[in-house]
Amino acid sequence: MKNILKLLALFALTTSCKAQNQIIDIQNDNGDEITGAYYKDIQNILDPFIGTYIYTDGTTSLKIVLQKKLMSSHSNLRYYEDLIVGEYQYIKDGVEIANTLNRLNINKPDGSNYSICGNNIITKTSGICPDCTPNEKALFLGFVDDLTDNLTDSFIVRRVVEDGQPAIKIMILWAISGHLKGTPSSQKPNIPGGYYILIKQP
Amino acid sequence: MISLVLYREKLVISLVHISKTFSSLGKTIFINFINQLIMKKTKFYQLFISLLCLFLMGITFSSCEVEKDFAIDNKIIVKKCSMKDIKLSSDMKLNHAVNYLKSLQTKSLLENPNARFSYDEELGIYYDDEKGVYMSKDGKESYTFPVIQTEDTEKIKNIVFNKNSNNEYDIYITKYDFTKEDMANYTKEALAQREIKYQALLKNGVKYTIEAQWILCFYTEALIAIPIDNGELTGNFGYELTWVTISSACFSSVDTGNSGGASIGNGNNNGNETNNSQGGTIITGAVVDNDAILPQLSEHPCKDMADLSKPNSGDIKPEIDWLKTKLDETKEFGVEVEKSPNPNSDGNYNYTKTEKESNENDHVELSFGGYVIGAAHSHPANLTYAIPSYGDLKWLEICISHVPSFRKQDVFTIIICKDAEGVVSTYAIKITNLLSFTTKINAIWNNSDYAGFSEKQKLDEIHKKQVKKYKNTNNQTNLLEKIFLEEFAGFGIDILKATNNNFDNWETLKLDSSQTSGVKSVPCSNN
Repeated sequence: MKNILKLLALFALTTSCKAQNQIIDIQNDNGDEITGAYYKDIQNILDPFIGTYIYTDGTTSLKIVLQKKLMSSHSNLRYYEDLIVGEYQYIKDGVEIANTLNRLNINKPDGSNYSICGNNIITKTSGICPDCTPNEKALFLGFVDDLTDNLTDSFIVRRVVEDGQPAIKIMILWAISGHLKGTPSSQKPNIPGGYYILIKQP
Repeated sequence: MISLVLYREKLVISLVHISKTFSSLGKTIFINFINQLIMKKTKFYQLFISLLCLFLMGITFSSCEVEKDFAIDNKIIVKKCSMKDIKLSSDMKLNHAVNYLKSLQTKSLLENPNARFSYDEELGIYYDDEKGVYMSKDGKESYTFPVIQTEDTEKIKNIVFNKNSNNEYDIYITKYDFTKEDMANYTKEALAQREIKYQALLKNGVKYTIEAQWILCFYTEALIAIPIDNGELTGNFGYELTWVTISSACFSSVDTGNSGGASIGNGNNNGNETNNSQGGTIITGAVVDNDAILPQLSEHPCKDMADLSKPNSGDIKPEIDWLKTKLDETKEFGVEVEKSPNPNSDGNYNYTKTEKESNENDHVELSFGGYVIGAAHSHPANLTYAIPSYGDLKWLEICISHVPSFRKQDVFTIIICKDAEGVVSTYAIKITNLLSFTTKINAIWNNSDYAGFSEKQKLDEIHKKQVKKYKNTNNQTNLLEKIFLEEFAGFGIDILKATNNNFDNWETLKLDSSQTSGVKSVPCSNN
């Protein structure tokens, strides 16, 4: 009898561990996050995007720092995922408009609490990266500008080479913002939308 | 909450209601009892029949007696009224107050004297100036008009023109701490314990700023039965219960309790306790617009969208054509559509369409509230998926929540997009089941995955999940439609697609596993 109980306990423990540690490649994440799953960057596709990047146009510049965050989870700990997270600094005509870079000094368990966050790997066949080469893997990330209460509809990051230097080409498309008639307009996002090429810093 | 109820002056409960209720309850008991008696064939059978007859006669006579007594006892006059009544329009002092309130309204409404639903832009409320109630007692008089609820759960508000001691009219907004649903579910005695707040807009010739402090009053109350003016008040005959409250002093910044029926209160709102000698009393009551409170959704969304293309009924084609020219831009463009609350003399409504474009590739704002009934916007090709998003549905949910009940059937959103193969589609979404729609949209919104998130964080997370669902579609229309319908078809909406470039013919998209694409198009004529 004791042996049977031990076997049952072992079986329960094994199946329980399996449920909580189901590892799914982030490339196969279809948006239906499974409870207990870990969406892992098995093929390290996110790694080449890590770095500090700067766009410069005269006295206007955009600096973005991207980091990889392992096993990020929302507060309810329902599932885990590897993410790219990031922050930014925007200087317009020599005046610093926004700088959230220091947020990266704080290790937040939930990557969604950084301005830039996501792990959507897109390709040419995703249909939203027309400039992607056939074998290229780009990122569709989220960008929440909480300083102005804006978010992007589309924030696509591609790895490119610019003048012989590694760089990223980003596309920022800000989402439509709802607005209650008769109240003051909401703030514009800090960074104008559009394409930017940012050179990777050594 | 501080309750300032002093005492209940008079409480007369309608025996008509009691007897009806009792007879209804008793019916079942008696029938069961009769059956038992018949079955048992007891000697009490005849006795029981006699008692039953006596009981029924008692009910009949007591009902008649009560109705008569109420009519005699009641000194309060309660009558239906309309701003357009000749008597009202000839009362110069009342006109002065009405014109002041109208001066807060939009120009378009002032140009249309036949308007029924008046929208106060500054207050952000609609009120029905044809469904007013005149109340008077002992020289106190008022005209109360219902504010139309934009949501069924909204607390009842009225606009009151109340005659003051100078025989001029003060204007108040009254707010009751209960909804129309509460009125149906609770007794008037129970509702009388709820709160009433007053906000003066005009008092003794002094204009008060909007959002001035709400004031609360000491009051006494009397529940009375009133004749329904032989149909003059509600169009029905008979009696209904209401009650009166009489204030002794009012305060600002203090909460008090009471509600419903009719109330008489002092209307000072200078921030300090006041007494009746400094101001008149307020007589009013909770007036509900029964015609407009329940949301009326369209039964023919397909036809509604076709109608929206007609020159005298929206004329949306130029705006959609404009948006189509913007599909290859790297930003979104939008058009807000507003509809006047009242028809013109020709029976048509005015539609105002405002094109929205960001100056610096930043965001576009699409408004809700006011007269806005819908919007159209573009999804830039190659940068976004050529299908409506959750964010579009969330905007629709917010939009309809800010539209009064009588306008909810008009609410729509249009999305113009181009897929990876260059196919341009114009989609419209209409809500067909508001409860289902709001419940399911908010179920996603309130998912515990997003606990503690800001609204923008939530939208971002939901949007990223959607992109994961679409990323293997190559942004092709047929695949996108199927995935969209798989997620949202059961959300109490119709997703429609324009079948021509005049936008006067639409089809409804539905899931259909027998189709190769998994989606079938139902022509408008078949809906």
